[in-house]
Formats: sequence, structure tokens, C-alpha cells
Amino acid sequence: MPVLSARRLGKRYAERWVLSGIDLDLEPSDRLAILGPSGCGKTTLLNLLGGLDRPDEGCVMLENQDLTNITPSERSRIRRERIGTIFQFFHLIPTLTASENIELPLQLLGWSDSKIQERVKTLLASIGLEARAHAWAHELSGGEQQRIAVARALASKPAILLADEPTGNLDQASGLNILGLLSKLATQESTALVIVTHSEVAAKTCQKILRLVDGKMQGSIEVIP
Amino acid sequence: MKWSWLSHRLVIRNFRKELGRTLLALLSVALGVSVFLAIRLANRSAISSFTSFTRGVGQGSDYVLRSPVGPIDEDILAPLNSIRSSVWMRPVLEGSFSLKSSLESFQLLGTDLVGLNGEIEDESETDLRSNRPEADTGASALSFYESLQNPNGVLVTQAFSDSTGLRKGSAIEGFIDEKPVTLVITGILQDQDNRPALERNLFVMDLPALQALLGRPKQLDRIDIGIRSYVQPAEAERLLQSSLPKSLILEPAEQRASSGRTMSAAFRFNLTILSLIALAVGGYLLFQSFDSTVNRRRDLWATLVALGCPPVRIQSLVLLESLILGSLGSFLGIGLGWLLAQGAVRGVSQTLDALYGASAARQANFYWGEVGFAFVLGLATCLLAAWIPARRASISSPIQFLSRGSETQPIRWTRVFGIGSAIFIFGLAVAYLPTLPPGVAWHAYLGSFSIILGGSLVAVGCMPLFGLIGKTSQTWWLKLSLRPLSRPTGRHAFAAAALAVAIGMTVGMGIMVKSFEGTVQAWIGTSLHADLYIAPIGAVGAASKHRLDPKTADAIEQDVAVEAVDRFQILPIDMNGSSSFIGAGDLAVELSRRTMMMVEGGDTKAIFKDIIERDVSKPGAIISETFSRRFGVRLNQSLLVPTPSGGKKLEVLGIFADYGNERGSIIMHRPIFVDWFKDDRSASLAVYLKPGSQVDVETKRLAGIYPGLQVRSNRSLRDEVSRIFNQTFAITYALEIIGCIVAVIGLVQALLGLALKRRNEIWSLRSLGATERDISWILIIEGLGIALSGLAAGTLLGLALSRILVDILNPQVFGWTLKFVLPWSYILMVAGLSLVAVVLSLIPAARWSAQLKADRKIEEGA
Repeated sequence: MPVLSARRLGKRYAERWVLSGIDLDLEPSDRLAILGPSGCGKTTLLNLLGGLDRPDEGCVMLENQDLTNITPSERSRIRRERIGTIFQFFHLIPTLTASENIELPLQLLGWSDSKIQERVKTLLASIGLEARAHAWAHELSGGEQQRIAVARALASKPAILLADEPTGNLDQASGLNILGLLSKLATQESTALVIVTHSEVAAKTCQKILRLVDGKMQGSIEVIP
Repeated sequence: MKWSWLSHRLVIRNFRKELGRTLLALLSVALGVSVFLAIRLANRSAISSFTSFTRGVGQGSDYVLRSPVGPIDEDILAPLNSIRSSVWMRPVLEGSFSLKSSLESFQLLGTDLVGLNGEIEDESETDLRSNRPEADTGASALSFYESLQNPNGVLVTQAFSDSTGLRKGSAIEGFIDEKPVTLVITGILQDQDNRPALERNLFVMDLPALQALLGRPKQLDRIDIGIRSYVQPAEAERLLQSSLPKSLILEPAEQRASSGRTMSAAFRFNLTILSLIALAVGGYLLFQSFDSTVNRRRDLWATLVALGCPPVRIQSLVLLESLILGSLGSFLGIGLGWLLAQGAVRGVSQTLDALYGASAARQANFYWGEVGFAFVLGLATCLLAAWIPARRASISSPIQFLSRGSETQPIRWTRVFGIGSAIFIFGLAVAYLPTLPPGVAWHAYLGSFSIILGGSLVAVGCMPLFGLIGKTSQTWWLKLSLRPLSRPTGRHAFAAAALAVAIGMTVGMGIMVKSFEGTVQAWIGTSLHADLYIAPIGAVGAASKHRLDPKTADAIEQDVAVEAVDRFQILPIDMNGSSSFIGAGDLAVELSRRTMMMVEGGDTKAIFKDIIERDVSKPGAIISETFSRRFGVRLNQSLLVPTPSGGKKLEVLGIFADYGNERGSIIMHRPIFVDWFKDDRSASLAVYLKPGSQVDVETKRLAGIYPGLQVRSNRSLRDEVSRIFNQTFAITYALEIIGCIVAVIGLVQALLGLALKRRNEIWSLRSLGATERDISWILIIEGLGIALSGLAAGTLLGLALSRILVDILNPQVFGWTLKFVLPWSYILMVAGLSLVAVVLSLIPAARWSAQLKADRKIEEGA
């Protein structure tokens, strides 16, 4: 059964439809790239899939729950428990250390201290930054910050992981590292992964590609063998 | 979800990280709270002292019996013996004493100390009984009464003894009325733990001794009455009403004590309102501070929203920050406020003394109620200022911020300007509505508030005008500095608004004060015509109890250098339950020598002539404008005045301006006054010297002959009036300056925030070759644009506010008509000084900002 589905999804700003007719299904182990040029509606689509925005037509189902017709607090709960998000500009909290940034979603969920410590330790080891656990966010390099952001997104063991241009602010080498890490951890945690990118190279690290032009799907979702 | 984990890491740590901003916010709160508290403590201490003077040592009484005018004859006590089983009675006479060394005023309270002991059944019923004089070692209670037999013996308070070091047996030299007197301390009244401390400036004497010293045999000013504990209050009141002479007024003791508070309520209310300037401006700045904090950390809020943090949790984080800042800032403000109050209390006290009578508070006391109120107000201001930003943070849409980074959205300035203009016009319209009964001009207060709010919003709309200059200019640094103002952000708006409020209040109050000053100067010029003014030493204001012996007045009148003397008499009077004054002068003397500023009634000479030549059966008088407003008495109406022999009518023949007291007064012909009130003791003399006399020479000569009198020349008295006037408004000026300082701090804060937002732009400019000096000037000019917007709107606000103050509130509150004066030099001075202060403050801020690097992580802590 798909973990995430979208049917005839559309979004309008003023009189202009920036997104329309989007259909997709995502299985638990899928890795999907949403590919398209700047301004084609990739981020808008990601925001709709992640419950950060409401569509003007169609619906989004996450684990059989319709995200479009629930209250904001319910949507908030779902983001907390079932969705992990990674941003282009990392958006680590500056007054938290690296480990505390990873810990933050678990604190929001109310996990016990022992469970939190164990989970954070595991994730730090996964991203290879145990030695930087107590560094402040601003003391980390771009690549390190994004790795922390990946760990934070995966901390609550979400059903899906959404990454908006995760390599957009990194050099090519760091970017490729991040993509590899994302792919590995998503598989390891059995989390579906959706990456928004304008890079063909980045898109090809995923198994499926959804191409967007002017807010519309170009053909059906391409499966990479 | 662990609240403590979140709050510590997201709020507390942020304080340390942004220490400079935190300290600025704390300072804003502290300043606002401290100024407000200082005024409240000063007011409370001064009025407490004033109330103590009003009641004297009489906190234990239930009622006060007094005459509507003039003294009570003590013969009325004898027939009241029949009710002494139900009530006790304590006769009181009040006088004034001035220290020879410093001319400091003291209240003299004469009461039946011997009779007191047998009358009062319970020690708790009177302070005097429980404030027993200290006993000398080995002395008995009997020696206390023996020592009372000294006709000049006084009991002094512990506060006086402690401050002067004088003990039992010490002599105190001074003047009672104009007579030199040496008082002897016969005992010290001890303060009791469960009662307020007795005022320093209070002396207590045995009644007959004071009657003799004052030359008022058998006279009393009031009788304090207490109900015995075994008597029902209702029964006691019935007994009193049936037994007491109907010509006397019986009122609850608390009502009398509150009369002092009521009398000065307008003055103190004015000060309290002014003290709110700093708090109001501080509130604006706090709003700005919290708004910019929320804006600056929008990526944090957006990230938390994206991570699924409940909106209420985000809102509570912002409110927690405001709660901590509010608490710490208020706490700091309380300490600072108490210190400021020590300076303010003297000013308030001296003004109350001048306007209403003795109030000699020397230090501000610590009132927990006032402190608590100020603390809560500071906290509430912070929470209120943070409420909207907190709400905005909780509903932050992550979308636009998380993909493109934080951007400060410009405000819809046309909308803000439109709303502000509408509120401003509404304020003007509502302020000039007719005053509804019972006579409190609430519409004027509402109008004033609306004008202040509207004017501050209009300031936002002034900025795009400067933006237009930037847009059309060909000069690159003007473009860079002023163009941002064409799309002002919240930060720009709050800084301009706060400055507009501060400038507006300063200009508004300043114009009112200048109008007042101009009117008073004109009034003095019209009213003070005599060569010399003579009064007993220590006499200050209409409420002074000092009086001249008629023989002294006769002697002065017969002096070789004196051509004529106008003897001025005055008595407090009860009119329809409110206190006022009735006075008299030798109008025949003044007929050809002076005029008065008549508001209604026409020519002074014609009015005086009418009063002098009238049949004694139909006497006339003039009333002050304040009296006319307070009691609703108009020209040509008849006035019923209480006298010792019953009510008598006076026809109102003129209404004059009098800025010397706000209780109002009636002035009649002195011969009739003496006949009605059987009192020929003058409060002061206006002396006209013979032609050829030298004023300075005669001043010194007469002062030498009569050491108990203060002899002032016309020039000297005018200077004294001006001094009291300036002193009255000294606190006003101080409060305005503080308000402006707070606003300038806000402007600097705004500029720093704006610079941080533009750091990438600054970095780009430097990389393109712009010097730090160039960049500093860009930022300074942007700041000046904001300041000038605030200044322009503030001036407009101030002009409108001043009209309301002069046209409506002053007549309403004080009963005084002022001539509106537009002091352009003052307005220009305020504008000039504000601009100088702004530039001087902006320079270091701009220089620091010009060094910002593009990497925000390094500079975020400033």
C-alpha cells in the first residue's frame, strides 16, 4: 500500500495555477526525485506533500490519512510524528548544539531522556559526526550542517522524508555525499524519500523521477532501472 | 514535550547570544517602570505628608466637626457635656510656625492634652495617647503634665528629634505669624510600630497655650469626635446630629482626610499621566523589539512549525521571553524608580505646598502597593507588546522563509497611514464634543489618546516621502540610504512611531506650558502693581495659616514712606461640601492703582467702584474663574456665603483670572468682610510707597524693623512666582526628556536591526570599494529619514494635543482659561535638540554597522 499518494493535486496563487493535475503514489521504500527548472513548482509540490501548505484542488493521503481536510493542529502532529523535512539552507537552530538539533524533534514528541540519548547517538554515528556532537551550529561546515539536518529529519523515524534542494547550498562533492547519505539512511530506516532538485545528476541517484514543467507533470513518473 | 528543555535552549540561551539587544530591551522596560514608579512614590509620599497635615494627630477620630467658614467658638463644648458618655471630643486649633534659621514651615496643632487623658478610654483610639512622650529616666507621668505648664512648650515628633538631634528641653527659635517666638521641647512623641510614623513637621501644644500664641482666645478650628466602643455607630450619629449646632458641619474623619487627596488629585493625575509617557514610549519600543526578534528569528519559528511544534508552544516561547524581560526589567526599574523618587518627591512636595498648603515630605517612602502596581504594569506592557508578534510567530508560514531564507516584508504603509489619519481626525473631533455632566472631560482624554495613536501611525506614512527623494535622486548614497524608506518595514515603522509619540507629547506639553507661562506672566503684569508685598515669614500660597497682627498692619500703614496699604484677608470656606476661599481687600486703595485680569464683567475700576459704593445690604463681590467653573456660578448671579451669623448673599459683579490657586476664591470689600467674619487679621499687605521712595532701600528698612515679616519688592515677588511656576513644571520637563531618550534608544535599536538585515548589501558595497565612512553615512541618513518622519508627525501630533490641553483639559481640570501661544522657538529647539541627539546616537551605531561582515554568525551577538 502506498505510504504517500497524491490525486489531481493543484495549487493556485491569485489567478495563476502554479501546479495542476499531479498524481503520484509512493511506496515505503521508494526514492523519488522531483525534477524541473527553477519556478516550475517543485517546492510548491513538496510543501503540499509535506502538509506545509493546502492544495486548491485534489488531495494528499499519508498512510491513508487525508492531509487536506484536517485541522492545523492535527497537521502539526502528523509532521511531528510521520514526516521528516530537510531544507536547502539547513535551518539548524543556532542556539542548539549539533546533538541538540537532532534531539529537538524527539523533545517535541516527548520521548524519554534515555531513548533520546540512544537515538541521537545512533544517528550521530550514522552520519559520522560523533566528534562534533557538542559543536554549535555555526561552528559546522555546510556539509556538516546538512548532515545534522538529515539526522534531525530522520530522528523521529518518519514515514516519509522530504528534501528540498538538499545539495543546493553545497559544493558538488559535499552534495554527492549528502545524496548518498540520504539514500543510505532512508533505506536503512525504511523511510520513503522525496528529493526536489533541478540537477539531473542528483535526480539520477533516486529510483523514480517526476519531471515538472510549468506546474504540470511531463509524462508519467520515470523509473530508473 | 519537555517545556524546560525547549525554553532553556531556545529562550534563555538566546538572551546570552544577543546580549546587547537583551540589555536594550531591559533598559526600555526599566526606564519606563522607573519613571512611572518614581512619580507614583513621590505623589504618594507628598500626599501622605499632606494628609497627615490635614488630619494632624487625629487618626483615631470617627468624625470632624468644623465651621463652614472661620473658627468655632469653644463655648459650644460646654452644652455638649451631655453626650460625652457616648462620644469623646477633642478640640483642635491649627497654626503655623516658621524656623528662624531656615524659614522651614511647621504645623502647630493645639489640643486639650490634659483633658485628653480622661476622655479616651482606649489607647488605640488616638495616636496622641499611644504616642506617649518618652519619659526621662526616673520621670513620672506627672512630670509630663507639669512640663505642659510651660506656655511655649511643644511636643515634637520622633522624626524631627532624630533629624535635628534636639531633645526634651531644647529651644526652637522661630516665628508664629510674624511674632518671634521661642518654643521649648517638653516631650517627644514616639512612633508606634502598628501606626504610620508621625510627620517631621508637626508640633503639638496644649490648646490654651496655642490660643494665646496665635492671639485667638476661645477659638477652635475643628473638634475631633470619636464614638465610644460600647455605643452603636448609628445611635451615635443620631445623637450627634440632634445635639450639634446646625451651623456647623459634621463629616466623617476619612472624608476630611481625603479632601487633601481630592484637592491635589488633578495635579497628581497630570503627573501620573505624564509618567506614562516613558512607559508608553517604552511599550512601543518593546513591541518593536519583540517584533524584530520574531522577524529576525522567523527561520527558527518556521523550522519549528515545519518540525511539527504546536503553534501554542511557539507562542508561549515568545511570551516566556517577554515574561522574563518584563520581570527583570521591572525589577530593575523598581530600584531605579525608588532612587528617582527621592529627587522627585521634593519637587512634588514643594509644588503641593505652594498650591495647597503644607506638605513637607523630604523623602519618598517605599509603598509596596505602588511597587507591586509598577511591577505588574511593566510586566503587562511587555506581555502586551509581545502578544501580536508571538501570535505571528506561531502561525509563521514556513514556506516562503524556508526555501528563500528570511526576508522582512514591508508593511502596507498606505493602509497604516490611512488608518492613522482616520484615528487622528476622530480624536480631534471627539475632543471638542461638549462636556457631558457630571463634568469629567472623558471625551478630551479619549481624543488625546486617539491623536497620539493616530499621529504615531501617520509617522509611518511620512517615510515614503523620503523614499521618493531616494528614488528620484541621482546621488548614489542618497539612493541607497533613502530608497528603503519607500517600502518601510515594521522596524522602520515602530522607530518612527515611538519617536512621534515622544516628540508629540513633548511639543504638546511644552506648548501648553508656554501658553500657561505667557498667561501667568500677563496675569502677574496686570495683578502686581504695588511697590512692596509684605506677609508673615513662612507664608506660602493661599492655604497658609500665617496672619499679620492688625496693629502691625496699622504701624506699616503709618510709616513715613508709605502712601497706602491694601490689606488682603483670606479664609477657607466650605461651599456645597467643597473647599474654597473667601478673601477681601481694600478696594478703595486699589481703585486708582491697579487692574485685574477680568474674564467677565468688564473694567476693573468700574467693578471696584460698584462694590465700594453699593448699599451694605446688597454687597457685591468678584469671583475667580476657577470658582465660577467649580461651583457653576455666573456673572450677576447671587451667591450664598456661609458666615458665623448665617448665610449671606453676595452679587457676582465680575469674574477674574487667578492662577494662584485651583480651589477658587471670592473677593469682597474688606470692611464688609471684617463685619461678617469678625476677623481683621491680614494674610498679606500690598504696600504703595510715596513718590520718590526707593524700593530697595525701603524693603531693607522695613525688613529690619519687622524681622517676623517677609518684605518683597514687586520685582522680587514676580521672580518668586516665576520660580514656583518653573518648579511646578520641572518634573514635566524631566519626564519629557526621559520619554525622548527612550525614543532615541529605540531609533538606534531599529537602525542596528536594519543594518543587520542589510549586512550582505553592506558587504557588497565594501567589496565594490565603498569606505566605512560612506556606508556609515548611508545608514545615518536612513536613520535621519526615520527620525524626520517621526519628528514631522510628532510635531503635528503635538500641535493638536496642545490645543486639547489648552482649550479643554486645562479649563476642565484646573478651571483656568489659557491664552494659546505657539512658541515656534521652543518647537524648533525641541526639533533641533532631538535631531542632534539622534545624529549623535546614530553615528556610533552606524560606524559599528559599517563594519559588518556578510557572515551573520559572527555579528549576531551584538
